[in-house]
Amino acid sequence: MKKDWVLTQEAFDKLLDWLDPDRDVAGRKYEAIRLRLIKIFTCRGCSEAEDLADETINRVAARVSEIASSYQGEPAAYFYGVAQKVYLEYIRRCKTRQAEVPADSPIINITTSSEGIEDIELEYECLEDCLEHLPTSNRKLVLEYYQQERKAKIDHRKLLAEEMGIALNALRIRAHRIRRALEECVHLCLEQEPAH
Amino acid sequence: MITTPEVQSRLKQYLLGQLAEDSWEEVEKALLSDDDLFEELLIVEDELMDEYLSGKLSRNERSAFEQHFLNTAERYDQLKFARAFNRYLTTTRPPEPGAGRFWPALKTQPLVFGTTAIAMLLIAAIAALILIRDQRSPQTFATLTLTMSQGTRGDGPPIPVLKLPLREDALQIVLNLPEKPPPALRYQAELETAAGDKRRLEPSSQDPHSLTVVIPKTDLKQGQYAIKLFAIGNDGVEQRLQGAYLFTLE
Repeated sequence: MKKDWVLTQEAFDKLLDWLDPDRDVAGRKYEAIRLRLIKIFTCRGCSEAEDLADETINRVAARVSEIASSYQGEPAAYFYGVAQKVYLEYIRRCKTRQAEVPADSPIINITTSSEGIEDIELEYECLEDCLEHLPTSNRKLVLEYYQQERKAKIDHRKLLAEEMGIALNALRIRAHRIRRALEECVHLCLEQEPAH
Repeated sequence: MITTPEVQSRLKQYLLGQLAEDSWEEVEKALLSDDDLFEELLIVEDELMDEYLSGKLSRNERSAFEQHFLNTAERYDQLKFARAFNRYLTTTRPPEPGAGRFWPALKTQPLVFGTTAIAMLLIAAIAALILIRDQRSPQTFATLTLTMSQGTRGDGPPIPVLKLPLREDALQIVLNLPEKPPPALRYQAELETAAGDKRRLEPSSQDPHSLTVVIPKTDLKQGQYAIKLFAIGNDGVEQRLQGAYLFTLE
């Protein structure tokens, strides 16, 4: 990866100005673009998704003075074009490292993982703890939403949405957000626990 | 963006690496600029993991999930969380939706509300007394350690016999796992009577060599019993272990 250009505060400020004149809005847009670039690189099977996203942002920032005045359209599209180049370079590096593998080889194989029962139990304890700390209404919602099986699950969710007076998809989104918050809580909990 | 089954299906294909290159570029460009679509992707990602864990993916999807989707450490961590969450859900049952409608209905009828409240308090008090008396956690245990028998009741090692009634609160059975058990995240035990009645036993503890189940004294009846073991793998699929743990209560 090209590491010879470093993101300076000045370049970062110009990048934010290009994203939006309002600094708060620009900050949110920056975070959103970074998060999505990471997800895109992950979906393409890149094990260094965060590094690749940051490299993309650095390259855009390095050129922002030249393009800001003339570029038309959503900045996100420009980021995407740069991300494509970063990805192609990444693929070439991978091919050099491992000629027969076109992209990244899996870094963890689920069937050969050495994850032990202790780790599983620890994660479970963290989950119980995080669930305990959820507001009661959120805990009730997330547990009820993901309970049940197949058709029963669909009927159950309809009933739940009716009870809450919201559309089924709104319920789906709400349950998902709580689940993501729960997942984040469990990761934080695991980071605080000593490794096994 | 409006969430439709088509959008969800396309995102699922994208996550599984089953879209043609021009199609996934189209999806990715949209993901960068459409907040709702990005959130939808995250939802479909969670649903995909749940489907994988509950064995609902087709063979083709399952293969794509393992080869393409599950190829970064982050995804593996997400799957671990989903697995823990699914395990929690299978062992916990929250109240059914609809249960909460009872109280708002009563509040509109004060007389009925008052009478019902008194009746419910009485019922709750009686139930609490019964619970305290009969369903307190066992404090003392009789322990039976069993090794899996591969044969029928006629062959193999002698079948342990335990005399009833027990003086202890419950029977604790330690099930020694076979020497080479299949890879499993956890185990489920099933108690079967000679008449063929079955019930699941939730393990009270588990280590790499054994699994412990507890049967309260009140549930013990004379007869011959077999405990069957099921290994639950990373994918959530149950696999029955050959053989059974046999014992007799007299």
